[in-house]
Amino acid sequence: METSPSKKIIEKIKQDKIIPRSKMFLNWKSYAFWTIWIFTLLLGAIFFSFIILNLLDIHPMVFRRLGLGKVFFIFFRTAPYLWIMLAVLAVVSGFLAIRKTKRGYRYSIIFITSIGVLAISLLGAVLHMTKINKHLGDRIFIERGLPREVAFPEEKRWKSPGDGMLGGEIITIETSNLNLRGFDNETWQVYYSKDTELRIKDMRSGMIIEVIGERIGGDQFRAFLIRPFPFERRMPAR
Amino acid sequence: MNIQNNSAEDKELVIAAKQNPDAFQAIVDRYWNRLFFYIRRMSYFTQEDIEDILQEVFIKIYKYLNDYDDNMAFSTWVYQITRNATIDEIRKRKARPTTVWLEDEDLLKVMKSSFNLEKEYITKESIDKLKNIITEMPDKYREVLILRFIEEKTYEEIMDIVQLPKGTIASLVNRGRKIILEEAKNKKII
Repeated sequence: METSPSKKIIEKIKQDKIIPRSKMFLNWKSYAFWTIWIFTLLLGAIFFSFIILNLLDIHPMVFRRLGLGKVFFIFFRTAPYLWIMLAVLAVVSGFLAIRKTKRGYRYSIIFITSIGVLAISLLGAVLHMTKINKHLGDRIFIERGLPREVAFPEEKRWKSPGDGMLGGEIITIETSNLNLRGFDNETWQVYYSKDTELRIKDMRSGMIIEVIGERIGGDQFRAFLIRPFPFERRMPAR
Repeated sequence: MNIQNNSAEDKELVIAAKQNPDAFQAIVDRYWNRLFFYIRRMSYFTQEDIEDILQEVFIKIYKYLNDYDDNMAFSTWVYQITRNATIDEIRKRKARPTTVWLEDEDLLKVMKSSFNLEKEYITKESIDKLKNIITEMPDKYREVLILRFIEEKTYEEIMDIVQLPKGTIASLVNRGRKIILEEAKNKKII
C-alpha cells in the first residue's frame, strides 16, 4: 500500500530531526533592515539640519535690501547641494531598506517616501533647535580641518562684496566707518551713516557681523544694513 | 464564516504542529490538493515534479512555522512559500512554461474576467486559442490572473502571495484583463 504524501513528509521531518526554527533566527534580516532604516533616518536628519543652517543663513531683511532676484542668484550659487544630495540618498536608502523587511512590499513608494521625508524633516528641525547641527558641523569640519566650503557653502556668501554681502570680525570702530577682517583674512573699510540700518546694540571690536551694502572700490564698502549672524561664526586663524 | 473558521482551525493546527510534528500532518492533508493544482496552473511540471516541490514546500513550511504571524491568513502564507518555491524551480530549469495546465473551466473563469463569452460560441478551436493567449502572456500578468480568478484570492491576499504593493497588483490585474481582451479580438474569438 502506498504511503500518503503527508505521512511521508512527517516521516522525513522525524527522520531528519527537523524542528521549527526560532523566530529570532528567521527574522534577523528583517530586524537588521529596520535598524538600517532608522540609521538612514538619523543620518538624513543630520543632513537636513545642515540644509536648515544654510537656508536660515539669509535673513528676510537681506531680501528687502538686495532684491529677490539677486538673493536667489546668490542662493543658488551657494545652496547646500552636498547635503541635499545626501539627504535624498538617505531617503532612497531608507526606502530600499524598508522594502527588504519582511512585510516591506506592503508599503507603496509614496507612503515610505512620505514617512521618510516627514521623519527626516521633524528630526532635522529638532537637531537644529537643539543646535546639535552647528556643534556637529564645527566639530567635524573645523576641528578636523575638513574643507568647509563644500560642506557649508553659505559661508561663501559673506565673501561676496561684489554681490553686496560681506562678513567678518570688527577690528576697530570709527565715527563713520569700521575696520573689518573678512573671512579670507582681508581688511575692509566699511562706511556707515545715519541711513544705515544698524541691527546691533552696543557694537564693539571682536564682534562677528554681516554687512549688506555695496562695494565702492578697492577695499571699501558702503553698508546699508549691519546685523549679527543668525548662528555663531568662527573666524579663520590669522 | 467558513473562511474564518478555516483560518481559526489553521491557527490551532499551527500551534499544535509547533509542539508535535504529527499534528503537522493535518496541515499537509488540508493544503496538498489546493497547492498541487496551484503549482500545476503556474508551471508545466509533471505530477512527480510537483509532488517533489510540494514535499520541499511543506518541509520549509514546518521549518518556518515560527515565522508565520497573524497579520495574514495561514493559507496566504502557505501560498507565498509555494509560489516562491515554484518560481525558484522554474528558474533552476531555465525555461519559461511553454504550456499552461488549465482546465477548460478554469480558462473560462479567467476569460470571463475580461469579456462575456456565450457558451454556445465556445468551440475546441476557441479554447485552444484562449489557452495560447494565457500561455503567451507575460508571467507577471498570468500569475495574478490565476490567483484572482481561479484561486479566488482577494487583492490583499495576492499582495502577500506575490509580495508586491496592492496598487501594483490592481494594475497588473487590470492590464492582464486588457491584454486578454485585445488578444481575443486579434484572434477573432470575440
